[in-house]
Amino acid sequence: MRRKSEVLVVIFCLGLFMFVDAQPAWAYIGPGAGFAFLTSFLMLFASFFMAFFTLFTWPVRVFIRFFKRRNAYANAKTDRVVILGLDGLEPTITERLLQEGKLPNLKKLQEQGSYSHLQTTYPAISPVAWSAFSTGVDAGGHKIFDFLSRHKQTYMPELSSSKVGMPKRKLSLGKYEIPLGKPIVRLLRRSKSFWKILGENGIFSHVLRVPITFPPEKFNGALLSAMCTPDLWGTQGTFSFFTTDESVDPVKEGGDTQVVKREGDRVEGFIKGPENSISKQKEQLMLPFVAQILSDGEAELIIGKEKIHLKKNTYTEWIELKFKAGFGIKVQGIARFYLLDTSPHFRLYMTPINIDPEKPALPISFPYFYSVYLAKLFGKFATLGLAEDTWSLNEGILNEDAFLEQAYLIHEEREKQFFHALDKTKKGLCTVVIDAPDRIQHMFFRTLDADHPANKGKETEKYKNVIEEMYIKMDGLVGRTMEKVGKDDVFIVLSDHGFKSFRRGINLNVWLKENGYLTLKEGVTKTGEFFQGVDWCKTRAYAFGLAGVYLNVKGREKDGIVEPGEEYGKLKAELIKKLSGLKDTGTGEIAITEMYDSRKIYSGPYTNDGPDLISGYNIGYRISWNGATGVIDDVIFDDNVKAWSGDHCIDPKLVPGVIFTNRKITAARPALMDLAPTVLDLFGVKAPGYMNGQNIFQPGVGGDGDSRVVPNEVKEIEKTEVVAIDE
Amino acid sequence: MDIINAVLTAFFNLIFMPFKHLDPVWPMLAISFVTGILMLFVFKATSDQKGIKRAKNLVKGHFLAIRLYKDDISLMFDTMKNILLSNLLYMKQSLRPMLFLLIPMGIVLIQIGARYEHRPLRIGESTVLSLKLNDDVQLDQVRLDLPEGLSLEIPPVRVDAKKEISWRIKANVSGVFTLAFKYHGQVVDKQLAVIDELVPLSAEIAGNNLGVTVMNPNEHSLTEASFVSLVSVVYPAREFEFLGMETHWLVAFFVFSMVAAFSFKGVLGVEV
Repeated sequence: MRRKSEVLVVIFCLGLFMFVDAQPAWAYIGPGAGFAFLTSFLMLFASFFMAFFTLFTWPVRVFIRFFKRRNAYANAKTDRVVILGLDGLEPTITERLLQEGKLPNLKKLQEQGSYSHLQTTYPAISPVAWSAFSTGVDAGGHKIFDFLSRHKQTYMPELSSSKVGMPKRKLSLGKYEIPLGKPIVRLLRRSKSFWKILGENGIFSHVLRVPITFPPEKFNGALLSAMCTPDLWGTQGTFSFFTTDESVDPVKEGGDTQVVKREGDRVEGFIKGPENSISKQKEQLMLPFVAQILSDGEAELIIGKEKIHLKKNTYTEWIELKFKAGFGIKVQGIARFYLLDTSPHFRLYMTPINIDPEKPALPISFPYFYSVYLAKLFGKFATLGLAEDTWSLNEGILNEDAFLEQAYLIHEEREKQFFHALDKTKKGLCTVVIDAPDRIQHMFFRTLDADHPANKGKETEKYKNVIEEMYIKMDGLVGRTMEKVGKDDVFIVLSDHGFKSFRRGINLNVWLKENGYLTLKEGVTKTGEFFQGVDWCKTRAYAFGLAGVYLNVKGREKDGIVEPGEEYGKLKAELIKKLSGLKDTGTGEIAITEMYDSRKIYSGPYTNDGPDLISGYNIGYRISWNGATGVIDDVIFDDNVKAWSGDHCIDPKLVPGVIFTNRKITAARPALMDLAPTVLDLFGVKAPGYMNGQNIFQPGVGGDGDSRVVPNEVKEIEKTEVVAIDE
Repeated sequence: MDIINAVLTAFFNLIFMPFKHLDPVWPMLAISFVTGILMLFVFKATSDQKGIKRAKNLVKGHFLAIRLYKDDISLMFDTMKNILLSNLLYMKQSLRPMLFLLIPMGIVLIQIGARYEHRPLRIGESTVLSLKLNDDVQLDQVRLDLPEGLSLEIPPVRVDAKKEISWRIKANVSGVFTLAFKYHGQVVDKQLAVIDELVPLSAEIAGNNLGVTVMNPNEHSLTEASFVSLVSVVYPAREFEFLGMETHWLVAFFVFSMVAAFSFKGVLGVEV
């Protein structure tokens, strides 16, 4: 007893001794805690120093700013504009749910201000649409005509929005070649974003996840890149699938299958990384892993020193993957894992390897540390442009539940970032684009369409409310945003386009071939991807991308044969005539409502770089999967049986977006490209003359002669009718 | 307590043995290094590693906010508040491992302190030896037997009001001597080191004083029945020099162990 009490007394005395002893240094309790206290002290010291420095120099900066940007907010109609972009929100669904009272926050917003359809762009796809939103010009002005553009000399696809390459100067060192300089990362979108113009006028902006912002531009604000930000492989998102099943069919698109070895309960494999850019061989970097199967449905994944617990049908946190390139150089990415099965076969899914926001291998934010800042505050997050892995569901690796979980995990990250940015935007612009509505509708639209070919063999009943639930969730997000928006702030909710069912695919290249406009090389009956086997010297027209048709123009394309001028004009008119109203030979339905002459739609200086014709597909149609990848066989029309069952790349008149604001929209026909001049005007900044858009809060905007608009009126909810477009 | 002290001292004597005749800097380097690594393990095992990382990230994140929002004075103040709060959170994360480290680190520091706080006497040096006696002891009856090699420089000074006696002793030869204080048949021993080696020293021994016993682990404490309550020897302070710089041993230990821990925290995967 005495001993015990003595021990307790000793502990007490030691503690007391450590903290109260006359020598303060004795409070040091080991290096760990020592570090903690030392670091803590240093951080406090440094932060107070920085704050003091900032405060001390603040008057100087205010003084400079006063002279440089003395007009900031001088003519502003509001101090704060908040734009919540909900990618792909469909008017017909929105209106139905509004009428059913399921979107109370959007209804409230409409009652405060306005609701209207929002005219989208030609074609109605996100990169084109959001670029028009950012710049206030059409594709002829911002030069983004599709996800891909064709190389005029090779007819091969190139990413239209950005170019990533290595510096030309390199130092050869044995098996390595060390780049002398920074990698080349260029944004190919032209024109100027409205937040850059705002910045030049002293107005700060937060721009989160607006598509086609990779690499980020320098401006007065903070920006996080979105659509077209690549994964670590340099692709737009390639997932990995590890399995011990040797008989499995490899993933066809968007993913990589790796058959791994299993010995007892131990599975070994390699995670493929990016190519080694400092090696002359440019071999793919590899990261070995071991998966120790613990029980049925549980395993431990060992990557380097890290051990990650895997549970069946459960996502892991974001895991750091460090690939060693040599000379101590590491390329770091992040991925989530999802254990599909441990028996009879081990099956493991890994998301595309996202650029690590804490250690970005490429610039994904402005300033460069903004992604680091967000990651430090909220944890690692998806940085890939198209982060929700639709291909894994298309390919049947993930099921619907897993895909939905992934989409909402990413959505949660975005929400946190958005509300944080909103809190920090006391004055200025805060804009975010939320991708979940687009991705979820792409993958679940079949559940709204009983006759959809993709429903065959797939669970439909269970998921029939997924889209409606998503709309209700987005309405909740609108509600939470409204709580933070003051009555003097301008709040806008919009979508870049709507959504329709994608039942049938059209391979326009096959139609062009069968009608004598496109010729294959001697003996070729089916081409490989991207026109391998096309005889360009005998080809007059080809379809490229999701909606474009190009004429093979002499002097423009490498092997062009169509003479510019009269022949070009005649051929274009001939194709418009033949393709507009084209009927599906299988169903008798009209597949193409209208072919558009791009020269009549676009007005900017880059118009000639775009397609010559834009296909306006009817509801239920889109370019087929083969058509999109430039494969030419003998099938013009086919059923779309993939999970990707909804789309918007159809006649833009049929897929307008939506716009809700807390201000009265006075424009007759608001369009997506009106947003840039509108926001500029709200902050009292004159919109540049080259902008096609106009202020939607100013009367008389839009008109029947305006090719970008569909005839629809600003509507009050009471007057709204569900647009009678057949689903 | 004496048993614990004896075991620990023996253990540390064993550790210090290879360095006995070296410059004291070397054993300090070795012990700090090993302690740094070991404590790193303890820290890892007893702390919430994810929580620490999260707290550190918050501090770093708010730090970046200073740069990001440097033009907005209200956001700047907001950021300062956040830095302060996240720093407190970070420090809170260190409390648990600190509690676990308290005892082992205390032991290590006491044992190192016993060797580095003071140095033994050198030949020719003098020191003052003091006894604090119980109230009922007659001061003139207390006798000190000096072993050969030590000599009394001046007669003892007795302060009856304080019940204290002091002797001024000179060291004439090298060795670890045992001094015997005698009173009515009772004997109290105290060691006195006159040696050019790194040995543990007890500047004080006491009977009913746990603090003194803990801090002076090299010698047995006095029995409860002893006529003496405290024996003290004034050893000279040890001068600790590293790379030509004179510093306190504790600072050196702090720096060395931190450097070792810092060097290995990445290898060992410890978040501190």
